[in-house]
Amino acid sequence: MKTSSGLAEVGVLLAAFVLLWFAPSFAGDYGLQIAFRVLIYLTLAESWNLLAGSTGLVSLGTSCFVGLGAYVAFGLMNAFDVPLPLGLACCAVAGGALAALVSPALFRLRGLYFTVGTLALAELLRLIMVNVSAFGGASGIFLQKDPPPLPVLFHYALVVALIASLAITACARSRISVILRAVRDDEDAAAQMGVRPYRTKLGAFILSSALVAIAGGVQATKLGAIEPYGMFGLQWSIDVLSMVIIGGVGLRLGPLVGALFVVALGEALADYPEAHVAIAGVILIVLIRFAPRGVVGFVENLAPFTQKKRVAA
Amino acid sequence: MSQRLKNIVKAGSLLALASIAFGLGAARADEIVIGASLPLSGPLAGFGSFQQWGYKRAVAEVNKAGGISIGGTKQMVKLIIRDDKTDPNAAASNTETLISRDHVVAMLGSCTPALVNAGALVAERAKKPLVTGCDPLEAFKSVRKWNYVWDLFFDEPELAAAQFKALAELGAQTNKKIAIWHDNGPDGQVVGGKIWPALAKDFGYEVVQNAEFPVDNTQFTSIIGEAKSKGAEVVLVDAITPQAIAIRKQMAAAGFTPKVLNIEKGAEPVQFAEALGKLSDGILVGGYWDSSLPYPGAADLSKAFESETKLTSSQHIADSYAAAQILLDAIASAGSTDPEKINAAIAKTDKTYAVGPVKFDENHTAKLPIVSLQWQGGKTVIIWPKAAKTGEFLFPLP
Repeated sequence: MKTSSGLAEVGVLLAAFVLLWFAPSFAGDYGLQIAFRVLIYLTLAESWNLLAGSTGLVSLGTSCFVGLGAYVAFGLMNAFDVPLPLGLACCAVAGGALAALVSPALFRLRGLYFTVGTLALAELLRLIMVNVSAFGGASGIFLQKDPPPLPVLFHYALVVALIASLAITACARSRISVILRAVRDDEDAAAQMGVRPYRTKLGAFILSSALVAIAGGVQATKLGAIEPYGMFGLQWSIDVLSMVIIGGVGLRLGPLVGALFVVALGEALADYPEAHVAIAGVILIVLIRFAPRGVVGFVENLAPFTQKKRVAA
Repeated sequence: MSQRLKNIVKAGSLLALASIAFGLGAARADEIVIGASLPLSGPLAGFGSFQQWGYKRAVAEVNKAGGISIGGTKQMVKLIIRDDKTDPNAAASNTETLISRDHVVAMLGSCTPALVNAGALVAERAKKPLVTGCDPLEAFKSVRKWNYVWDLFFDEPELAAAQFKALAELGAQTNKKIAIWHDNGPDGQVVGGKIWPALAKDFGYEVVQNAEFPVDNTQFTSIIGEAKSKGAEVVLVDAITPQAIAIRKQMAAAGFTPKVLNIEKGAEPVQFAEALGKLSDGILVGGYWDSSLPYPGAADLSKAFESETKLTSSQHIADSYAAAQILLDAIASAGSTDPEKINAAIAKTDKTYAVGPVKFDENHTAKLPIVSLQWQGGKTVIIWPKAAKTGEFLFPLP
């Protein structure tokens, strides 16, 4: 980390972490539930933004690693009674290992073909889980012991989100950022300049997948019951994609704003079960029409107007 | 339009939409708030719409009668329903929100084991009573020892045995060769993988094929071909509705017409018969409710649904209506909104509702009586047991 802005960003992240650590003492159960959801989504969105926004690897395989993390965490806790932190560490290892395992095949594909490849990977894993009875088949598996209480799970989600944010900050505010962007903009040209595209993409893919798998493990622990259609569902991949697009692709605050927006919108519209799909559609159409760079981009566009107003005043 | 005006319009549009979205309705202090997360969109939306109607009707009836007396004061019941989009993750988060934000005193369940379990585990941890139907009892019991969750529905072994008993009593003559096709969902594995093979042996049948397939499978020609080549005259299927329809159509295309075709689960809703037309004639399905059954309010319930919605009624209106009535009766009996007292009152339930007699056992389950239904001319008739019979057994399969 060389830049002062990077250090400032780390400072802000750590301050937010410390503040949020004490949230269970002042936020009610509902506040904690919402905060937990935002933190899980933030982790997923940050990870996806590293892959797609920084490295140009647009993935639809988020659900694959969410599900993997969920099954690894449950499997280890049920079979060996491992403590949750160790279980989550194993989720990260499993996520990274799977990413490394499939990358020789996936990295032969570029652009949209890579995207389709990640989608196929997610479907493959879902079908394996559905069809192999050792993994519980379509019925899924249940956590044999009661999950930790909500404040404890909130702290796990907070730590995971902090790790994800720090990792993305490290990538965005250091030399790595230049390498990632070089690979994203022109892989072949980057190779000519001495960058190793395969290693670069592999590193980003492993890091992103490991973070997503941990988030999957935490989410599953909170649920207490998992089955392949929910944990490997395409909805995870779509949600993450929506969050980053709504927040602002490639913008540092995009994932956070997107996660907050999606969770808040989902909560608000859930009170209108007959109309929520239509209302959400209208809101998204308006948002995309008037804010094509996402909410963060929209606010940035407003900034010059605000400044002009100040000057005029 | 100046840039400034454009920016104001943009910001205004977004703010207006946000304010529409966030215009929440708060519960009043003198209301009894109960909640439900239902599949109102997604693949199970059909089930969810029936359940929603059943829940709302039970609550509306109580409110029409003046509400429930709590501590000597009559209070109206507010039912908050959220859509889980047929996603267990959403079912769990909806239940969390209903408990932590809306402060519901008790809950009503969703449909199918995956969705019911997801919400029920949250309610169980929060110690909020939850009454549900639409979750087969063996699948429900296999999750854990429940303390706050109650399930009234059919028992898979009883449902599985019903058609064997019906065929024996109705004297259906076949070569006793059975093909079993079932999905690998929770109840599919129990019914098709374990119970049917065991029952077949007990009733003197030979299982010539037992095929399992994923819940989202769409191609059944190889399974059908194998059963045909092995001469199966009785085919037992456990599959969801889209697959059940595909199976029947692919059987017709392959020219395979066994003497008996029984399709559990997928052949329940009227959409099954609507999609198949004449091909649905003669198909057997186990049932737990029909408006002709002699239970209080059964006939009226079906008529009310059909007159209000202009749709054909389903079994699911009965179990959802009864689940809500059981919960509301328990709140009235407890005379309190204390979850512990409501839970204790649910445990004491012993009454005949529109769905049949309900009394919970030590596993928090209440078995609903089973009948054997057969599709005839786009409608189901009860062919077994004899006492409840509303039509003649159509045999063999046309």
